[in-house]
Amino acid sequence: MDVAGEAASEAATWDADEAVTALYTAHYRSLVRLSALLLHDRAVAEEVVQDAFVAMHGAWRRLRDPERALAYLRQSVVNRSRSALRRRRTAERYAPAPMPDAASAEHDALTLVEHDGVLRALRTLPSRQREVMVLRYYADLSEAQIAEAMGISRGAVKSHASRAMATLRTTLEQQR
Amino acid sequence: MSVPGSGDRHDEELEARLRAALRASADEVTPAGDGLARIRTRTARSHGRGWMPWAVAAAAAAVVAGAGLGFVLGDRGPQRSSVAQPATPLPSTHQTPTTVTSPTPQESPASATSAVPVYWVGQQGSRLALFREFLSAPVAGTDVGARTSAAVERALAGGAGDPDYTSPWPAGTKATTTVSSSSIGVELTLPATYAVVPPATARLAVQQLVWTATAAAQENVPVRISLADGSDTLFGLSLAKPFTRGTGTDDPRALVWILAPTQGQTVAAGALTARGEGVNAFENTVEWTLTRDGATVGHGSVMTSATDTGQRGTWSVPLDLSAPGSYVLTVAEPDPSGGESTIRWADSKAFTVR
Repeated sequence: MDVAGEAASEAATWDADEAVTALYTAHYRSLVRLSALLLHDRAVAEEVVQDAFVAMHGAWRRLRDPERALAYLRQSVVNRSRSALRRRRTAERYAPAPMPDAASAEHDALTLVEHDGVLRALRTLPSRQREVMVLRYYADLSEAQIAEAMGISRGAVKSHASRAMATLRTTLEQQR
Repeated sequence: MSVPGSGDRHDEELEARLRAALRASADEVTPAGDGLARIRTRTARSHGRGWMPWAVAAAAAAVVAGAGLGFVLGDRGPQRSSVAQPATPLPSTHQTPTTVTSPTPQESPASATSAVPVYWVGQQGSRLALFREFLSAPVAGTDVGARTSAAVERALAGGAGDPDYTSPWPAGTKATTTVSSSSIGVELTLPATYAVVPPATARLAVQQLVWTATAAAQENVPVRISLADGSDTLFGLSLAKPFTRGTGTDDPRALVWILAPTQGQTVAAGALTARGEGVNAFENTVEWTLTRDGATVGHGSVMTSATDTGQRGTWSVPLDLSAPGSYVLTVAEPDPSGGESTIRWADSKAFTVR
């Protein structure tokens, strides 16, 4: 039995608390980062991910499997981030809040400018397109996983991705 | 992913740029480190049988509390109509010249607007409960102290996005908030005169501050409340011990609430998924009703994601919003106290489709 298989059979005996602990240890940080990329707000991202974990705790009896639980968490984080973003947009007509954590000093200035340009271009995309980009290029998810996380078809993932890439190409060419 | 033309060298380069920028941005985010403790605190309540005794006690107290809140609401009547815009910053009308004014975020040259979680008091069924919104607030700087201070100021000042929610605090109450790794301190300055706050409302007011401060600080730590004038009681409550988030039977949160759509939102005609949270009560049913221009255009029921009775879960309902108009979505859970059968735990949001 491979490592994943062993983990899965052990996981079948987990109660909801053990599942939360295991998944928290393995994925909490990356899920907070995922949400922060969608929201540009670290603190709200953490609350979003904690909400997702609490929901996962409630659904564990149905999930019973770390992979399914992770898929559930991702879906929950994407949905909740979208809701939080929509709320914030409603509240402030979308003046995007800056990321609270300032860029670290190790980055050299040129890299920072380059990253900033890409991130600003991403931020101008419609939310579904931006979600596809973040799930693909930050979370490294497959097309099927992205479809599952966003609750849309693989065809829709494809079309969001190609539109996003076309827009980004144009936007980033103009910036150069 | 098979992005059309992804074999193209330009796309490979663009993909590399995307990965690098997203990675760098993500690396700047470091979670606070107490997330597991906070999740555990929230999931722990599902092991107790429940929130029920608290709800019953609250229902009993609701006559008094309702009257008290009504009084406070009455005080805030004019303000409620003036805060129709959710983005309204801290109303300056609440700064009374006789109080010691804490440094307010919007006075700082470094202030920026940020989304902060704020809990409000609202009527649900036969009791008062806390509802959460994310609102924009001026935040002086990027540290957690500034963020917490801004959220607390907002919670005191009122100005919820949903007009059904309110702050139970006397108008003009000011706060100085300090955040350390082990506790949050809130020093309050009450206005010279204010309406009597009954005990049940006082407890909820304290919980409102505690939930808001800890949510904004992202630290589920004790909250020490003190009064600038040195008094050791607040509305009759002892301030000797710090306060913590009420859990289990003392969980003050509303049993069901709507997260999307938001109050006053305008959406394009089409499909929208309504989402919210709810406690698994009795048959785990959240009933929903959608009206357009006053006429019912849809209703149904949905289960929450919570598998155990008393647990909190999420729910979602796909809505057909093909016709423009003024919509109201109402969700309700049966009253778990079982007494007056007509009383529902409910939340509603008015929004526009065009």
